[in-house]
This record gives sequence, structure tokens and C-alpha cells, in this order.
Amino acid sequence: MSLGFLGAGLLATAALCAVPLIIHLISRRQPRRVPFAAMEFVLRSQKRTARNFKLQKLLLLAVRTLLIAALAMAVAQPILSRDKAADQADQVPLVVVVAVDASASMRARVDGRTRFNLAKQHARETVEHLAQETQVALVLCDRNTDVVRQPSFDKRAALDAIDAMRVGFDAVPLEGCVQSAVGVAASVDGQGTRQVVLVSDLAAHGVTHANKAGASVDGLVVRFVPTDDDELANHAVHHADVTRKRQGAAGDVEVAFGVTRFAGKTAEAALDLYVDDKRVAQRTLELANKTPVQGTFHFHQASVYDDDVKTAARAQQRTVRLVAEDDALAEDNMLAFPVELPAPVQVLLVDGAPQPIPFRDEVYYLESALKKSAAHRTPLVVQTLLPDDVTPAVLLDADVVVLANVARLSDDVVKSLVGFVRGGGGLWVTAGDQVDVVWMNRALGSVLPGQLRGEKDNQMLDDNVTQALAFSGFDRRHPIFRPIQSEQKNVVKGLANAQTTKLMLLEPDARIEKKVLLRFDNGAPALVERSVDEGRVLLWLTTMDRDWSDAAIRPGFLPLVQQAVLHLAGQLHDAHSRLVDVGAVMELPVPKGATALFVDGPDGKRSRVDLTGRKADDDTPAVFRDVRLPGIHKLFVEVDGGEPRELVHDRFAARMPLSESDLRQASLDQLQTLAPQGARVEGGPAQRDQPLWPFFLLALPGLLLVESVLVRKQ
Amino acid sequence: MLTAEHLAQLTSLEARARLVADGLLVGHHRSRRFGSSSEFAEHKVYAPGDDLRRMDWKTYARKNRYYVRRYEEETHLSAFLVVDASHSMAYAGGAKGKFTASKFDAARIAIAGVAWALQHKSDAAGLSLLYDDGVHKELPPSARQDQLRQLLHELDQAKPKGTTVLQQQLQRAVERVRKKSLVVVCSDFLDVGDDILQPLAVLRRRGCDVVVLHLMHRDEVEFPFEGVVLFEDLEGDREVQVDAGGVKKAYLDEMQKHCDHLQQQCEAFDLRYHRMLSDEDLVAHLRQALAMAPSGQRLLHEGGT
Repeated sequence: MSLGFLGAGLLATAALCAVPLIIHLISRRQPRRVPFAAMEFVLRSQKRTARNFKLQKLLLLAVRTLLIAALAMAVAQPILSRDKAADQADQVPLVVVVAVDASASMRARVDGRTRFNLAKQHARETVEHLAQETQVALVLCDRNTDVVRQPSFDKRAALDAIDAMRVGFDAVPLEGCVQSAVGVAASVDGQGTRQVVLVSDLAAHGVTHANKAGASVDGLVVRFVPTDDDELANHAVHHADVTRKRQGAAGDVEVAFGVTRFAGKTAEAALDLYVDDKRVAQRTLELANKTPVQGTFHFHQASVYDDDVKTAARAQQRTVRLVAEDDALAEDNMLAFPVELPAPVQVLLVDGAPQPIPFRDEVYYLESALKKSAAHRTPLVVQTLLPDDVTPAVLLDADVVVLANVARLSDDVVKSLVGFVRGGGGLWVTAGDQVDVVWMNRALGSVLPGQLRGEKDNQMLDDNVTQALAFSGFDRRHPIFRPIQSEQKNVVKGLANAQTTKLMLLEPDARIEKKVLLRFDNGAPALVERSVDEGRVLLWLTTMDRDWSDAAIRPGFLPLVQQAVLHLAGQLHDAHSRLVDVGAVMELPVPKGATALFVDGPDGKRSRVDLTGRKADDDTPAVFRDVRLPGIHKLFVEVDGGEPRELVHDRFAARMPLSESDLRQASLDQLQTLAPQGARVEGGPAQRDQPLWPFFLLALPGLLLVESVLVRKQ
Repeated sequence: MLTAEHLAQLTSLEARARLVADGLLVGHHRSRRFGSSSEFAEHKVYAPGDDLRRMDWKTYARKNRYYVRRYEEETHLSAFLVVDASHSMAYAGGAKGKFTASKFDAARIAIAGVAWALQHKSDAAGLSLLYDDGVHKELPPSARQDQLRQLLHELDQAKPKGTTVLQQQLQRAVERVRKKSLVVVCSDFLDVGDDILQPLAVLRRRGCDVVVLHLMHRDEVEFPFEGVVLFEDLEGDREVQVDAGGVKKAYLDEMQKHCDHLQQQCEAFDLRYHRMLSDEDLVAHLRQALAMAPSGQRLLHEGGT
């Protein structure tokens, strides 16, 4: 332990201690002469009191000196600090393995320097002070716990390796780190002490007890060296979720958040919400120790659309950031994640069988269902045209085109329509009496999920189907069924009682990659999807009106068609749901035909996802283990050696592990569990600088009291 | 109040002595007592109980009324006044830089006053001034008219000097004291020997009334000194530097013990002990002191019946 002073300059006031001494000496030098008669009695009393008097005088002098010394010490604010030099070993070890903690919490700043830099400095000092005959090894406690330097006598190389160390964003259990270092120490042949020096913030979150301490090694000393003596208060933004709400006064986008403060007193902190670089909301939170604060922001998505209407016509990928006020660890104060802000979906309905009586019109029910979405989170702008009125120019503004029982379209329009689909547009083709199967197969065969065979009514149905067909069997994972999923298997809520008397059949064709989303109970496809480049195509194999099926009047019709249109417009993805911790194992979707999958990190560095050994029809997700940085990660797919294209809807965000935000130090007892049994443990959590000045302040009244008693006694 | 300090404003010791004596004899300036002397004083109308032997038959013959004769009583009181004239009696204060009348001043005024009173009552007064070198002035008791003048002269000329060896000085002084005398000893009694009062005890056994007038300075009783003080002995070369505050309590204890011891010794020897401070009312103290002794009472008492 050593003594330090916060106000060392004021220690000069200790010179005042000389004042009583000087007064004492001065007063001794100039006694007053008094001729006196009763001298005998003075002599007697002097003899009687001489000893006590001298003692009291000295005591008074001492008390007065102490009084001023205590005052000077109180002003100079002495603190009792841990003496690091005392921790130095008194024996030359055989090998010293310096393990440097590179977990995310080491990014915390103390007096402008990160703890990782302080740790490197400690590591350097440790290496520099080693004897020539001691070997040194280095372990970097990051996600992989790398042995940076095997044991060697080359101190220079070890110092260079320390300089090259980089801190990560992962949560690193200290057990593994110590075990790895102990293993390295044990690998050295020879007799002598083997030291493992762990330089770390010694945060309690690092002691996970996930692994048991390994076997001991003879002469093993495990020393825990804290980077600093401060216990830092820190808060972290650890939770975020975006949901779209019905239009309200506060806004139609809700961002839920969670913020927690670790250590320290209750404090206020500002929390800002940014969409890209625009701050859209701000709140001040009162953060109590270890009590998560949850809340929500609201804003109007229209307020963050680009001014350019054409750009706004497409769904917009935005970055939402929650930014809390700065503190010791800045890296956990910001949480960024991708959000798709949907633009109003432009839906073009091509009415192939218009009727003067509205409810007999081919698109009457469809149009009604889509227009009901005005109050829904994503507005749909519906436009209905006759086939002859459709022009290539009209397609430019559309997001989704529905060909409802359309017989034919002009070649120009067909050509534009195919280009529209390949460019990312959504096409929904529904069957009906007007459909020219031959023309359809020829004109749109390149984008349709299958070749149409022809219509089939209930008279042509199989013998075991007497009346009508019902829907049975659907793709439960598909987003368009999300609102109408039933707990009962194969039952679509709201469409269970729908009856279909006539349907369009598809030619079986395995070459076309398609997904049957919904089937009739005779096994025939009812709704089929195909992805064509950037776009999607749905094929509804019965009518949208009540001619072939009464699905249009069933409760499930409305959500089904709305979901289908949003799906075709690419607006059923919520990127925020993919928020993972750094170091987590990610499951990434692999599109059919993908030959390579890449992940671009927030720093722009591209990582290749290992697809080795995957079969062409394997639809299981790929595993990605290289999430190293917090921030938004983009997924790119390469098909048949072509240019990689981004899977916009599969972006995901990574955040620093929440455990790393808790900077409180582990106790010595906790740390001792990290060392193998039998090993000698040294060091430990830094003892707080013990302020001594309050004791001096408290001593002042006591000394004053003693002084006054002594004076009174005299 | 007649203190030594007030009286010091009068230049002559005689005047001071007279003032003190007036105080002592207040209300009866004549020291006459009626007794069985040969000198006729007056007639008194006979009253039952009067001595018939004193009946004046001649007056009865002339006036046909009974008168008894009354005579002036003769004074035979012999007083021996002893004054300590050692240097310690010269202490006049100075604890706080303020000086008062010295103990010796107070002593000689008091003794002069007593002498005056005695002379006024036609009693014999003697004086002894005690020095350490054996040269002690002594006037044998006498009722002569010029005795007072000589006594006052001796007192006036005396200057305190030398050390106190009170026991030896008293031994010499009391040798010539007659039986049944009034002996008044005025000293600070700072000589702390146990046998200091032995000579006076002898006197007492010889039938003398011994009044011990313990005269002290207020500084000696209260020790009002502060800070570090270098005390110099008035009667020698001794010096001692003390923290006055530090030794005060012990000094006062010692002094109190000494005074108590002196008083106990006086009581043991049947001596009349009276303590007074040099700045206090001399007359009041003298009256109290003299009142303790029968012969002193006689001095103070109004004329005889």
C-alpha cells in the first residue's frame, strides 16, 4: 500500500506544524522576572509539578502539532493506494504467460484511455521487468483465446506482439483464458515457478463458471492484475424492436427500447432515436442501478421518407439507431438495426371480366379488400384498369400488378410486364373463364409458376369429391399466412369453409422452381409462388370473384389478399427481428441455386459463408460464426457465378453482448475459482483508493478538545 | 476602610498611626477606667449594691444625700510589638505589573497604630524589629510620653533587609518581655520551620497574651501570575523559572497547607492567630486580632465601669 495525495500541493500547509514549536521556543526564551517573597513555596510546587508540567507541555505541543498536521493532511486529501510494486514476484520464474483480456468491456475508458490500452501497458511492463532467463508467452483472451506468442526468451518480439494486440467486441469467459494460459505455462520443460499473469478489468461477468478450472501445475502462480482501480458506472442500450401501428397521433412506427445502468448511483441519460442521420425523437431516462428501463418511441414514417416521391414509391431500407448519452463504455450506448420503411404500395388491378353490376365484377371483392387497408400500417393505392387500357408506362408506377381473369394483353405490355417482374415487381395472376390458357402459357410462361393446363369444374372432379373443394394444406412458414394461421393443422383461418367448384390446373413441371403455398383438398395447387430474379409471381388457380369459388366472401379472404399484395411488394420483412449478439452463431437463409453466400460487416469487410457440402435442394439455413462487430450486416448471394446481389430483406444487426456492459469487478473469491486448485493466487480486484482525509477531519475536533482540556488544566 | 495603600498617601507615619488608632479606639478617645486607684474621679449617687466602704460621708453631711466615691483605675498594660523586617516583607506585588503598599508598610502602620492606641491609653508599648543579622532594633516597653515618638521614629526609619530566621530572632526579642504582657507579632511567617513559634509558646506559658498577626500579600495568597515567570528570591539568590499557570494549583495547595499548619500550631500553643492581607482594612483586622486576646480586649474596650 502507498500513500498518495489528491491535493499534494496543499501539503505545504503541513509546514504550519512548526508554528506551535516556534511559539513554544519563543515563549521559552523570554520569561518575565518577578522578585517574589514566597519563594520556598514556588520551589516546592515547581518540584511537585515539574514532571507533570513537562509532560503536559510536551503533550500540548504534540497535540497542537498534530492539530495542524491533521488540518494539513485533511486539506491535502491523502489516499491509501494499492502498491503495485509490492506485487512483484521475489523469485525468478521459469516462464511467465501474460494473458491480456480483449473482451468488449475492455473498451471502457478510464481517464481518456481504454482499459485495453492500460492492459497492454501493464503487459509491457510485466514483460520488460522479466529476468533474461525467464521465458515469456502471450495469450490474447478474445473470442478464440489465441496464443499469440509461444514461450520464448525473445522479449522484444513479445513486446511487438503486445503492440499488435487488438480488442474485440465479444464476451470472453476468463476461465478459458486462464486455462489456455496455464496450458502454455505447463508446456515449458524445466523446474521453477510458472506464472500466469492475467491483465484484465476483472469484471464479474468474465467469471461465468462455464468451465471448471483445469488441473494444476507444479509451482503455478496465477496473478490477477487489474487494469485500473476505478469501478465505472455504465449504461447500455440492449433492446430494440420496431413495429408498425395503425395510424395514430403519436406516429405509425413504434420503436421499443430497453436501457440498463450498471453500478453507480441513479442518473439521468438522454436517449436519441435516429433514422439514418435524422434525429426523430429524444427522451431523458432516469436510470437506476441494475433496473432496466423500457419504453417506446413513436414517429410517422412519412416524416422520414425521402422527398423524392419516386424513391418513396419503393420500400426504403433505413438504419434506425438508438443512441444513449456517452459514458465510460461508448460501444454499448448505440444500437443500430435495419428497418424497412414501406412506401405506399401501388397496386394495379387489371380487370379481365368487368361487369356493370359491381359485385359481379371480377375485381370487386379484391378491390374492396385492398381498399380496406387504408387504415392499415401500409397504405395500398389501388388502381383498376381494363386490359386494353394497360400500357407499359402504367407499369412504371406499379409495385404489384394483378391480372384478374385477363384473356390477353398487348405484346408491349407483356414484354414490360416480364421486365417489371424481373426487376422486382410483384405479379399476381388469377384464373377465370376469360383466361386464354394458350396465350398465357406463351406470353407469361417465363414468369408463371407453371404451365396452365386448363380449367376443371366439379363435374370433372374425382368421384370421391361430390360437391366442392376446400382449401387444405398450406405453407405455415410463409408470411402471407401469418395473420390467418390456425392452431389446427392444414386449416387456414377464415377460409376453412370456402368452397371451390372450379379451378385451373397446372401442368406438372419439375423444372420450374415454385412453391405451392395453398392446396385444395384434392391435392391440386390453389396458390403457387415463383421467384423470378428480383420479383415474385403468385398464381391463384381459381377466380377472385364468386364465379368458381366463394373464398371471396370468406373472412380469411381480406387478410390473405392484403398479405399477398404486401408480400409481392416485398414489405413483409422486419429486419429488426434479426438482432443478435456479437459472437453469436447466425442461421442465414440460402436461396435456391446459390453458389456462394457472403456477409458484409459494418466495416465493409466481406466474409464468405461456408456452403461446402450443401445439396442444391437443401433448404436448411447456413451457419455463420463470424459476427465480430456490432452494427448492420448485409447478406449477398451469388448464383451461378454471377454478380452477388444483396438479399435486402435478410440484413441483420449485431450488438455488443449485454453482459460486457456490466463493468463491476469480481471479488477475490470469484477470481480464485478461475485458478486451478493448488495454484497460488496473487493480486485480485484493485482495492479502492482509501480516502484518509475524512479521518483527519474527524480527528480535528477530537484534537481540539484534547488541546482545550490540556490548556484548561494548566 | 483604612488600607495600607490609602494610608500611604499620608506622608508621616505618625499621622497614619493616629488614624489607625482612632479606628481602634473609635467612640472612646479616652482610655479611662474606673477602679480602686488613689486618684479621685467623681461622685456617684449611691445605689443599692454599691460598696459601702466607698460612701463619702462628708458629702452626705453637706448635702444630706448618699454619694459614693469613684477613682480612676491605674493602667499597667505592657505591650511588646514585634515586627518582621526581613526582606520578604518588602514584597509589594507586581504579578500584573501593579505594585501596592508592601507588607512591611502595612505592618509598620498597623503596629504604629497599636502603639498609638496604647500610648493613648497610657499603656506601655515596646518595639522589636527583627532582622536576620542580629541587629534588631528594640525599644523596651514604656509608658513615657516620648516612647511613642521614638517608636514611630524607629518604625519610620526601618527598611526590610536580610533573610528570615524568625525562630532565632523571636528568641532574642522575647527575652526581655515581662510577664502578662500583650505581645503582638506581625510577620509573613514565610520561614517554614516547625519551631518557629516556640519562643512565642514560652511567652504564652509566662502568661502573655500573644497575638500572631500573619500578614500576607494578596499575590502570595492568590498567585495571580501567568505565563512563564522567572521568580527571584527576595531573601537570597535563588531563581526558578516556572509556568505560572502550571504550578499555581500546587503553589496554592502548599501555601494553604502552610497557613493551616501555622494556625494549628498557634492553636496548640494557645496563641491568637489572625491572618490578614496587606491590602485589606488594617483597622478591622487589628480590632479582630486584638479582640481575641483579653489584654487586647482591654485595649479596645471602652473605659472601666
